[in-house]
Amino acid sequence: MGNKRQEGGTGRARYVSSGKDERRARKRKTKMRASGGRSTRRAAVESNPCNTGRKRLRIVVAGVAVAGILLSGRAAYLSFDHVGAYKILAAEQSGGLSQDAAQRRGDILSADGTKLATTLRTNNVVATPYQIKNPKEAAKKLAGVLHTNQSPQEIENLLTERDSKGKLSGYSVVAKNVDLNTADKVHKLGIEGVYTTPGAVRTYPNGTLASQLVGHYGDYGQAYGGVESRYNKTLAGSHDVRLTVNTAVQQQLQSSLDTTVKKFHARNAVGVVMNVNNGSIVALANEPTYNNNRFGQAPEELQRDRVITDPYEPGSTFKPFTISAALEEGAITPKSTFVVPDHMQVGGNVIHDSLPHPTETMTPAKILQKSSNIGATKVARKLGSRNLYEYIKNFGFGSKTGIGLYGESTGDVPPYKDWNASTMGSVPYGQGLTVTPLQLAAGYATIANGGRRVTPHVVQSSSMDRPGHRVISEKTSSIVSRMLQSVIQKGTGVCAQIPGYAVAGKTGTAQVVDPQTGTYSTNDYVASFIGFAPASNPKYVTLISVSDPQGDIWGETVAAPAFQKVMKFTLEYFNVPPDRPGSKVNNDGACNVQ
Amino acid sequence: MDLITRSSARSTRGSVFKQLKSMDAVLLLSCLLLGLLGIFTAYAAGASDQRAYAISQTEGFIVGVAGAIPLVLVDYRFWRRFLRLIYGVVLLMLLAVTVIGEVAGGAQRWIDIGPVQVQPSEFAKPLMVLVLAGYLSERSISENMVFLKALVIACVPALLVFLQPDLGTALVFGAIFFVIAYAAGAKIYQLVALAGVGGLAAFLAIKFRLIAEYQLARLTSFSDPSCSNDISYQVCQSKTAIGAGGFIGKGFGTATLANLGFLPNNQTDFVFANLAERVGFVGSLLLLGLFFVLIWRMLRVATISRDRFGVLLAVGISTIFLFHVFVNVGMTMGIMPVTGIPLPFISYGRSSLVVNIMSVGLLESIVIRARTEPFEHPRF
Repeated sequence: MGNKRQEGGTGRARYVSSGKDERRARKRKTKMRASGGRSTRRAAVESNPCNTGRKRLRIVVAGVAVAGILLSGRAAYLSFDHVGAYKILAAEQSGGLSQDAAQRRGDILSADGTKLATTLRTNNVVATPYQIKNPKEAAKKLAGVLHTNQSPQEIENLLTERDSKGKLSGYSVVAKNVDLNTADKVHKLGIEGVYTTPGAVRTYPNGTLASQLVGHYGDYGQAYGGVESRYNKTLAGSHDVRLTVNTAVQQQLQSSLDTTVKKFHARNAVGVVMNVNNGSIVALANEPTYNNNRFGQAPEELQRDRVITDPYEPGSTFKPFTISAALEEGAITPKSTFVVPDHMQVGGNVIHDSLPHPTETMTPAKILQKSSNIGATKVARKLGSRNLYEYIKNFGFGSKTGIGLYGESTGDVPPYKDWNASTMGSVPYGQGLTVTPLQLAAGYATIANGGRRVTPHVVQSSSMDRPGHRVISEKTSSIVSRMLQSVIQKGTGVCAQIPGYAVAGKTGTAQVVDPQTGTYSTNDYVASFIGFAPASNPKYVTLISVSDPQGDIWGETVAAPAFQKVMKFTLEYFNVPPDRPGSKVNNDGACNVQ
Repeated sequence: MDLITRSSARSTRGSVFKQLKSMDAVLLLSCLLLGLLGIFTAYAAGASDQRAYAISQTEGFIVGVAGAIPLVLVDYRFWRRFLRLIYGVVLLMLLAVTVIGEVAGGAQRWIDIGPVQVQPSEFAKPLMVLVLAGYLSERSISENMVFLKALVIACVPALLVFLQPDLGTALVFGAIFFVIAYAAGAKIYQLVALAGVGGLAAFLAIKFRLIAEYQLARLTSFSDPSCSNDISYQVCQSKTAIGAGGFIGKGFGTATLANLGFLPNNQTDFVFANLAERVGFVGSLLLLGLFFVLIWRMLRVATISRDRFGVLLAVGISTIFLFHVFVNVGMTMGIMPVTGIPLPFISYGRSSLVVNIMSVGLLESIVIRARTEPFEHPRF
């Protein structure tokens, strides 16, 4: 028994005993137990200072201190080192369930300030069934104040919900998203075990307006598609997102597409109206559409924003890019002439113009007016396949536009190494490659705005407004623009004429590859029209594309009238001064009135 | 001079008022503050039934204070006369749990006494401190026989708790024994041997599946960063909640991971994370600070106690609190295994609250005796 006590006093010394003494004491103790010798025994051991030295207590205290430091250190580590990460994680987890966060989710506004998506504060009525003393009576009372079309019996069932073990459960939702007034009434009923929790519901005041573009924010904080999902972080951070979309133009676009789809019993139709100078999207629509307030019931194919997700073979609407490239490269001039038969052999395949015609001599303008496939192919031959490929890439085909929304397709431009003789017999007039409607609209914006690329965008952003690099010269741009005006004046686009304005545009009637056979379908077409106005100083480009119209397949008769209606409305709505005042429509009444 | 004369002398000395006046005010205040904080937490940290929780916790608080007052007034050495009886009661209570206990979370922990449910293992903890302190205060633990006997005394209830199965509380008994033995002057080799045997026993228990799968998973998976199984998910949520609190916390009345249902057991085992998310780093530190003030004052009781019994009692009680705070808070922070050990005063639960307040009462009794008796004996 080591006596290592540091502080030793004479007064205490007598309590120091050796191990021997102790053992002796213990032996004595056993004998003494019967004779009540407790006190002596206690005194002997208790007084041994070595057994409970201050030193040992000090080590215990040190242990406590270490524990304290460890815990505080860890708390600091969790609170600071990861502060961002854990906060974000918590926020993400909370998502829609976090009524707090959901209540403060930012709105999505149109350019004119209309709320396309907003959040309403509501309340949920919930119950703790095992606390409810008289469920029948409670249900009756609740039915009196809730206007949820629930019968007292239904409410009672919710109030007496049981868990998997058959016991009354601890949580049951009686009614979701009741207004504050009703919640207040429920509160005042004062039923024990029934209470209200704050809730939030994301609503879309114009439920069907630009629904695919706006996207959906659903239960559990999940954002699906469109702006809701792309700008989820911004919105979750309580910031509003203001779009470039104009409500009026959007409505006009949707109604025209709707009319077209119904009239031609088409599978669907898409449309875009875009500012040619900065790429801001004024309207973007998919018809048939769905109501964002009933997202769950909408078929999935309607929820997709096909303007960016579904590439297709652009057909004749692609010809202006071939002509632009050839002009820019000096391979042709506006006065070049081409001998154009109505069919021709290219790389083992025979290609045709859409309608039989005698062999003609055509200028590039005429090729566009007549929408001649042979003519476009001949122009492309002059340009050379390598150049054609480079221009296609330069116009932005085969890569994302930069709109940034999720799910955008790049389309499919065959890589140059895969090109063969027959490629030059299809690509020049828009077959054998696929593009998205948005890519096509952006390409036309380049032709319209003097030759520079634009970044299509739906959210107001000055950085995205800036034009991109130059693809063609202003001279080429204005030449092609004039050729496209002649298409409207005396070509396939007469139905797109707008009184008072010079319109430039191009029809397209593209065949669709039948996924079953891998060859072009004989009855499935995409009829499209794309153009810009006012042609002398272009402001807007509009694309209309109708899938599988019945009874009529032609871009000029199916899509051009819708284009005309939308473009006319847009120009008038934005007070764009007419560049050809007093001009009249000159189409012999051949057009469908929309 | 012997103890009998001393204690009989004291029993007549001083009024009740004087005795109360010589209590350790800091210990008392930190205890009461923590108790009130517990009530507040029961109210504020819950997502629903807040009133019910708060009322129930208040009941526990009142019963605890009522139970503590006699403990303060009666000389703590009085209880040493009933060590065998106390030990018997502990064993009986724990046996009763295994026989007639209420099952919760795969373990039997509660028994019904009249209208109230009691968790005997909570009471067993300080009572075992009493038994061990009493036993060792009059023996020299450095003798191997004494050490072994004390070990057996501690092991029987620990085993009963372990069989409930409540591994966490069984470990508390282990910690109590270890620290009391150390403070009582056990030889280092004895403690090392004990640790070795304990390790071997744990190894064998795992090998022969004496520890249930879920308990083992709890012990090991707190360090699993994947958050993929139940336990590591709990720990991840808990860490996330603490981290989400940031510096000053989210405050009360806002949505937190706890009231959204992401944080499991948010009023009991993981109450610290729930609170930390609301009060942030500053609040957590204040709460931890309060606990350490409490434990510091408890250990101070050990240093001023006039006798070995008091010293060991104080050390043992401090150990219970330290172990609970460290393991519980450590668990919520992902540095300790997930054992169902409550956070004293704060975790919702009346048994635990009553016992905690009464334990402090017992220590105050030591303080009063140390302060009101003349310095005629050495402190150790």
